[in-house]
Amino acid sequence: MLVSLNRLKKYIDIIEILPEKLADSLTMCGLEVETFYNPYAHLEKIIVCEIKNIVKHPNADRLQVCEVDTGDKIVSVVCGAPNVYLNMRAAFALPGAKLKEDFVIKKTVIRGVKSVGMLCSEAELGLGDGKSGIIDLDKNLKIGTPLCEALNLSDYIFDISITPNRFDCLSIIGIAREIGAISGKKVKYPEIKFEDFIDKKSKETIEDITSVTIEDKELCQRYAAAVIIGVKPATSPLWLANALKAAGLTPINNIVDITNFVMLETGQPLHAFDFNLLFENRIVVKKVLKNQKVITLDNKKRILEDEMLMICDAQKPVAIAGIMGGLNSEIKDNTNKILLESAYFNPIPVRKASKKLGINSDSAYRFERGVDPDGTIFALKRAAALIAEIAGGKIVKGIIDKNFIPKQTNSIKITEAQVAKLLGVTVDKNSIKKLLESIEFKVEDTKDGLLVTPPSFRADITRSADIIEEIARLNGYDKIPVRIPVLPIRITPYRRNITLRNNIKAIMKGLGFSEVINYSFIDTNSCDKLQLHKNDYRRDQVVLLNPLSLQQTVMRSCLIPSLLETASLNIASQIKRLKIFETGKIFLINKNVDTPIEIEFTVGLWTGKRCAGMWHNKEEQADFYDIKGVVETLCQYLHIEKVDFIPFSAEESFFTKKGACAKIMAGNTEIGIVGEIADKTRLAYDIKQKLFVFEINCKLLTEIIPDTMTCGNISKFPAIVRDITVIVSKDINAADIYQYIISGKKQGGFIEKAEIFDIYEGEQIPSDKKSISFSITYQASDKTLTDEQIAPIQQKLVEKTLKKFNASLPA
Amino acid sequence: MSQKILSIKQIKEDASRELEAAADIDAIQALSVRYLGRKGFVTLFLRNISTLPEDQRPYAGEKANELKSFLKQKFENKIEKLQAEAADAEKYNSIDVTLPGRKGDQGTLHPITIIGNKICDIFLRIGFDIAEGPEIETDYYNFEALNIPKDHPARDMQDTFYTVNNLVLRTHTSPIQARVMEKVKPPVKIIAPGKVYRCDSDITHTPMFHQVEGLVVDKNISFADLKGVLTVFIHQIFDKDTKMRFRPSFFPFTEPSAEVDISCVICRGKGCRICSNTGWIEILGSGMVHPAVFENVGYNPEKYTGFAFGMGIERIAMLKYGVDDIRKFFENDIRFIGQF
Repeated sequence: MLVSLNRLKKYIDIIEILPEKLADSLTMCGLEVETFYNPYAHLEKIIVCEIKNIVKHPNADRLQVCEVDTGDKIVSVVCGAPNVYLNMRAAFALPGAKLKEDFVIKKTVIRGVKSVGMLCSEAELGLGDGKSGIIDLDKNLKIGTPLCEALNLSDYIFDISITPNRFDCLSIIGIAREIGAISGKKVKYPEIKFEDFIDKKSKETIEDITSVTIEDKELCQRYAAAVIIGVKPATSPLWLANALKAAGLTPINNIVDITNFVMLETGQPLHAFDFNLLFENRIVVKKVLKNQKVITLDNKKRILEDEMLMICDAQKPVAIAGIMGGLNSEIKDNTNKILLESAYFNPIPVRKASKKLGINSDSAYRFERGVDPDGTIFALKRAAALIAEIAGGKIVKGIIDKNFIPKQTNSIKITEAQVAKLLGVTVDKNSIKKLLESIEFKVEDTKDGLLVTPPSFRADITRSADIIEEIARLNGYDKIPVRIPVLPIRITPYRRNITLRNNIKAIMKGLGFSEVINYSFIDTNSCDKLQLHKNDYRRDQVVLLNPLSLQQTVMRSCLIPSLLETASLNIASQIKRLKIFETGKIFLINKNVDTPIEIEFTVGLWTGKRCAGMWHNKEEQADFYDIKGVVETLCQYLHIEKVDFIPFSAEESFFTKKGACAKIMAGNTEIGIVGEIADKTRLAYDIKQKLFVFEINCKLLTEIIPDTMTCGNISKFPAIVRDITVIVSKDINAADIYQYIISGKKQGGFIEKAEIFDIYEGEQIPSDKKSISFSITYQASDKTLTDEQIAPIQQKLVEKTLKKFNASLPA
Repeated sequence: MSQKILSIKQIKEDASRELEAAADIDAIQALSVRYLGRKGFVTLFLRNISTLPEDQRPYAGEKANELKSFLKQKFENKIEKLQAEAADAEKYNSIDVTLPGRKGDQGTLHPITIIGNKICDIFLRIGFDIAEGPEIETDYYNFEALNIPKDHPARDMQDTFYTVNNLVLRTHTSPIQARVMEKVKPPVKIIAPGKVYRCDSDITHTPMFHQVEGLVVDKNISFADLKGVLTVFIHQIFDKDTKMRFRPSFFPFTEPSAEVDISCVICRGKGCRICSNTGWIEILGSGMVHPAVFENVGYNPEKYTGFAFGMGIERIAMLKYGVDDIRKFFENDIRFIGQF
């Protein structure tokens, strides 16, 4: 909310206070001043000048050249306004004056004539509509005086952020009350001259000429009205227009402006109807039938809905209650009789209606948060009197005040002990009393504590914690000591998933991968880009009802698309070698329950060269075995004992390339996949280079990783290494042969480990064959093995292997 | 012991000849041992002097000592000469040690992970437990349990992403508070880190960001304790010179509520663009748990009090690393991410 310091000064005695100090005090009592500024800062280099001479511009019909006295010299300036005259006092912008952010006055030449500065209109100075040309100043003003000083233009505008609970501060009086509490000064409430403007000659009372019927008493808990006859709508006087502008509102006409002015002053929204445009000159407050239409003051057609509360005349809606008036009863130039409304509407329906209709009016903003039900009449009378005073006319005797049931006073008991318990600081009874009374709370001392009654404008205060907060903020949060609590030790369960996540991240970092974090929402077409089957479970995505963009419409059901996006973006910035990973949740619709399934995954991507391009590296590109090696290392670090890679069937491979992808099995559990990205998917992401990815389900992993490990015994006796090379058909998996060989370890042989050290395909052997070389380490835990002991074992192993895999030995 | 005692002349001749032949420093050191060592020829000679006639002893002693320092000097000279030659030779044989080494790839953690871990670590060290919760939440846990009723203007404080079945993407990590309290009896002291979502995107807002929530509930927990714990935290995550102020504010689920400002870490409170010339930076929201929240989770508000707080990890990361645009965290430009 924008508040002018000059306006504030009318309600509270703060002549001497520095704006910085006031901003700080307000902030520290809970009204955060986001910024404050001098609204006349742009007038810094504008001075009062006198026009000494006027001649026609030699090269332009509509321009004149004025000689201008600026106090210390005479300068010439080109001017187009017809209203300049000799010896006129005018506002003159010196070179360097910054009238707007992008409008700086400079020395210039206009059609061959030098022009040093600018004569300004009200509009150019931001002081009025400027219809009357160059501003014509008082003849008594001293030449050369800064304009702000001459016109007494000095103010500060405070932009205060009002939290939703403090609707009482959506008004200048509300803010003045807070300043009163801080400074110990009393608020000067405006004097209401309502009685002075009543038409005492006429016998007619308001009940004689109009009526208010409230059909929905729950939604409209008070409706008050006054009628003013003989008003003359016109432009508002300058002080009124300025008061509105300082608060960011646009002046319209004196009557509407006064309703807005009183709203800014008291927080109570008001509305003025043209009395003669109300059918049967009466008001009915009721919910309307669906699809009824009304054109609001902003000239938009609004389609109303069942639950919306309307202000109607005897025939039709004339306003949407608490939100905006209708065009059909608006104040026009010829209006001479008005009905002024001041009401209390139930906040929730106002909020629902304003959200549905998409109207954010100042009135709705206040009603949604709640206005003071006891302040209705004060605001009505204040506005009626101001209208009569400024727009002329007389107030018809009496007011209407319907459906007002005074709220039961909500008295809350608090004790010093309660305050001390919650705040950790003792505030004595007298201080509590003083603090609360400074914001107009009533405090009664009873034998078992203080009985506190908040004022009607503080409906947010409902329980003792609320009162204690008021005490805390007025006393100052800085008075509360800083204490380190003694908290009992509590054994909490070991969070396996968090530990696993941290371990995985550390391992991936160690393997040279950089962590990325992508948005959880992605494009709906990502499943198509991944070539997923139409029945794939990952197509059951959680849809956002109000996405920010088309690229963020569903919650991701797979993390791979995010990595591909990231890769695509980086490759586009010429970073062709990438090793990245991400840990995050996938979201899937759960057919059986309302809440979706959330599962944590880790995904990794490697693309580009195997090694960073350095002087010692070859230019080799990373391949399937690089990413597979990452998965193997990761699993080894996590002490997962048995990890197997099982080839996908062609139908299952989807976004991975057929023949270059595998399921990652930990025992019998499929924990993820690893493979090269299929060309179609890669191209869908506009990537021209090969990419290798893995995906691991962390939730499954959590269940698999062992809590502890037992270390093995290391044999003290020397090992013997023997090699076997077999030539087999290309369709035989190396892992099968490896498993066959290493199974000897379990069967009590001397095989300690086996490694594949060479693979060969080429001219030396038939084209449908490959040769695989294993290096086998034999070792015993209790003795030194001899060549004689190993030779027959090795021989038998070779024979068995050849037979098993229909293999041959190299020539 | 049976080594022959050679004459001084003999020793000098032998030593000079052998020294001439010695090709490297190791050989000279061996010679040094052979002649001047504990069982060396010179030493043996000296030891043997007592067996000489008395009148020959001073002369023999003097000569032997002369020989000793002569040989010592000779050996040293030769070593120095060889060292100098070796140095000369190495100038051409050495590798270029200024070439970069064979580095492994340097992986990095995301800055949000790093700062999130730092934050959690501080609280774990003072005895907090970590809790997590779903990112797609029910309206009840995200709002109602936290005293944010339907159609309340407080809902405007958070622009919410809605999804099917009246579910929302959680707008804060606060629902975890309610979920934990429903399951556990006091004392409670948890932090809850995680992703949160708000329908907002500009230089200071991204539709997804990360928060860490904290909650302490027990008998006799007061606002002073809240100030204590958060002061410890701020001094740990920034430094001990960081000034703090607790400023009244409003959150539906705390009463009293406080925003915590710290003295601007960029300008140290003098006023700059980052702190909008106020010298202060808003860093977290906090307050005493609202009694209505306790009632919603089945705690007795007469018996228990507690405090809660919440902070944005991005905000702290931006301040600590001098990041000027929050969107950089999620653009995942490896040139940015790879710095951390």
